Amino acid sequence: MPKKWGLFLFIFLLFLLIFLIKSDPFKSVFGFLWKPFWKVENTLSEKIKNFFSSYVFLVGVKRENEKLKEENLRLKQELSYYIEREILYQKLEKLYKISPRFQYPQVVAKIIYRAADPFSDQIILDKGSKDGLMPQMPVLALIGNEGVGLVGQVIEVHRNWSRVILITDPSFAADVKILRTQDRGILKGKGERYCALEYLPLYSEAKAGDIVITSGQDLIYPEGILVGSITNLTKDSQGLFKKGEVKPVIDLYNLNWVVVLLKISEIPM
Amino acid sequence: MEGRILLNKILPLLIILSFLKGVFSQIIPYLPFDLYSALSLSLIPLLSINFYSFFSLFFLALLKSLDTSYTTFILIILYFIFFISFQHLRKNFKTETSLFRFLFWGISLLCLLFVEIYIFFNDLSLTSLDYSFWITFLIKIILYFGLSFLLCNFFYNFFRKIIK
Repeated sequence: MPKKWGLFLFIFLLFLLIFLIKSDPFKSVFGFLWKPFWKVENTLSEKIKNFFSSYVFLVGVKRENEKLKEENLRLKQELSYYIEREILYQKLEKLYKISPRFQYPQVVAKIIYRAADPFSDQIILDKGSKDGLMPQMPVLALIGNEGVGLVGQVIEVHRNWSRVILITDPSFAADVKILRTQDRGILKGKGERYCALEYLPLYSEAKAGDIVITSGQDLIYPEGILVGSITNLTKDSQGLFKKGEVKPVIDLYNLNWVVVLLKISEIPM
Repeated sequence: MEGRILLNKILPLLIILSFLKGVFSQIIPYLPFDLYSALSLSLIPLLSINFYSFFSLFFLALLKSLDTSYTTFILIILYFIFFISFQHLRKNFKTETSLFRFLFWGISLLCLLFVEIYIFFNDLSLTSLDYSFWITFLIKIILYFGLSFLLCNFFYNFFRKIIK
């Protein structure tokens, strides 16, 4: 009898272990509790950024002009506040209808946390499974007023928050093509500011400065999303393909808002 | 360390540090050290086996797991192994000496670094890497190990002053 109980206990512990490793309930619950902290951190860091960009550089102003400058600054700050609100409004308006080409529902999400780890590039969004997000969904962002660019991919979804790997993360990969020559290659992150471009055909006439877009062949990212531009191109060590580096078109470290395409991956996870 | 001291003094400090880390990580693109592992390793020599000690390590593992895509359970196990092995070593060695502490932190950080590097290279394709990547990678490793080690020492001395 005790042997049977021991066996049951062992099997139960084994299942518990598999459950804990597979579903990670701790992270989901703790992330839910920690979300208000992320939001406060985000607000505070934005305020610090604004302070450094709009006030500190004016410290060296001559004393006789101080009053006028202060008045000017106050008005400027007021104006910049309204301009910022206007830009934000325009951005959100655009993000909600980014492009008629992408026939997928879209969710606009705010970046609430940036995991500043030396070995990975990941962000946390304030939207989760209750907003329709699922793993493998593409994440995009606006490039000025021109269009949208690829930011990364959703990898972990909890009820009201989710984790996204940026295109510079080592675990990121996407099927891409050169816009000018239509040659296909694989874009991979390598934990640095630039991404690696691999398996480009040897006969490819692509050169530095060429635009790289998604090909849509990986069945994850829709075709035609802007990724970046080639900075250099060489033969790989075996001499079978060309390889190079791609500079992302989006400034990944100054993002505040992103849009998630609710595109369900056509390949099983 | 008594559980009450840990709960009243150290845990609020951990929350503040985590908050500050969150703020700065949005301003600086890379923080080349592991704050949560440094905090847990600096706490371990000060902890005695009780519920609060395990709770604080569990809490730190949760914080660290939110920063990465690793499973929380693996981090919890890692931190608990460091803690329990240190308690076992206490029986046979003079763990109060700074040399022992430095060795313990060094070996533990190397273990954590090994896990980080394993996960990093698990996803990475080696064919596209050039010399500049390896140089940056080497700098990252040295900074990760060196700064985390210095942080361990700093937090240990700080916590020791707080609990007196």
